[in-house]
Amino acid sequence: MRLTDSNIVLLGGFNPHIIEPSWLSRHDVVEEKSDEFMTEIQFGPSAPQMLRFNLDGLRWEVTLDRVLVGSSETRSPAEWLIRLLDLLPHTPLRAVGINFKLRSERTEWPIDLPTLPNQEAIQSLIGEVVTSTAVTRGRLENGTQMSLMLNATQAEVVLDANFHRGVFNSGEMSAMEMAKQAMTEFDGDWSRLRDIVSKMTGKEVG
Amino acid sequence: MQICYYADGGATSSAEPMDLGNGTSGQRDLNPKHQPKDPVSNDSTSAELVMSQFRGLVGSLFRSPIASKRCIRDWVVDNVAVGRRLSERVECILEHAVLSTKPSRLDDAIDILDQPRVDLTTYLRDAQFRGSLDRKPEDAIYILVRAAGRRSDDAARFVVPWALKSDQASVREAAVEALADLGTEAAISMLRRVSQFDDSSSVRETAKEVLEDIVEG
Repeated sequence: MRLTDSNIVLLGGFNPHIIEPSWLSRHDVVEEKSDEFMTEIQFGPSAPQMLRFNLDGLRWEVTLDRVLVGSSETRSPAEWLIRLLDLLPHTPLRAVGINFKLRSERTEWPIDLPTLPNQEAIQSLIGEVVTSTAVTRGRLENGTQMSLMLNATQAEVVLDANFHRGVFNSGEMSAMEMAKQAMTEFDGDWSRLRDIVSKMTGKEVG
Repeated sequence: MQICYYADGGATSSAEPMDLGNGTSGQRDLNPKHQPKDPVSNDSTSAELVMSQFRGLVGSLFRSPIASKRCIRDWVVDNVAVGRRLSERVECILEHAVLSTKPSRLDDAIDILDQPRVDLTTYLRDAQFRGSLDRKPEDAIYILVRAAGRRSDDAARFVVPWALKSDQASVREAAVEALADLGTEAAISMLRRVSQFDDSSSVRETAKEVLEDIVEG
């Protein structure tokens, strides 16, 4: 399997009118200084209030309740997000998610795909199987919730991994500090996922 | 320091369903109006169903034996801390506590609402703004006042002064106990005033007793 996407998602309260390219550039959250950014804002009464752009080689998505920063490499965007949070210290935060997406050709996938019980028996009723999905959720000792979702079509297999950490204000630590700490887990989570995939498939992540 | 995060559902996943191009799948609709209204749930379950499940959870807390209460209480606290519709969730806890016949019902509710992760301050501020505290049953007021007194944030600011002005002596008595829990200089100063000037001899007596307890340490 090969990594096709990795990102960090902050869940909380954000203002897409503030967290936009020129503001990020002006406050040195990003190094890229060009005023011309590729942005995508959807308009209309039913459109989400979402801002999407690329800066410093990272993909940014900002909505009212989340900020996503990621790339197609195993490159932690934590330092960008920490700079962002340092500028907005009163941002209410609820959780941090570290996400990885791995992909493999179906022919390269070495193990059986998940099926419903007695799928052969129901084959004539459900027709040709187009996709098959398996989801496993677990909780690590420190409260990190790991979610693995395997999606398969006839052509490919995609594994989405989500490491979700709820953050909150406690007497010992603020939600902000907790979120910053959680973001430093990016490399550890990637390493953990590689181990999982290796044990699942008997093959290393490419 | 060992950090312990709390797991409330994978709402931070960026995974998208495999697009088969039929466009009728309800998933990954970015319009906030079309999102599941409660991040506790990561599926497309309606917000009403989520609240219904929460009510069931709270009900089981008040019914459960002491041995299993702690675990369920932690779930309830997680749900209140992370879930939206804070007021509705707090009201649900108060309602169960008021209607329950268990002797521990008030303490059970206080044990939830005094948790730092539960945003009681926001709830109380909103309740004050809407003037809804006046309409609450006495037991519910008692729970809110005592829970606020046990918290280290400023939740007490939104309910204790109000409770001290209540016409009901029992509410003022709860405020006296909350002031004792707070134990700050300002709280002790208020206790002294209550111990001298409250209209009710019972409230004055309670204030004197808690002051003595504080002095004796």
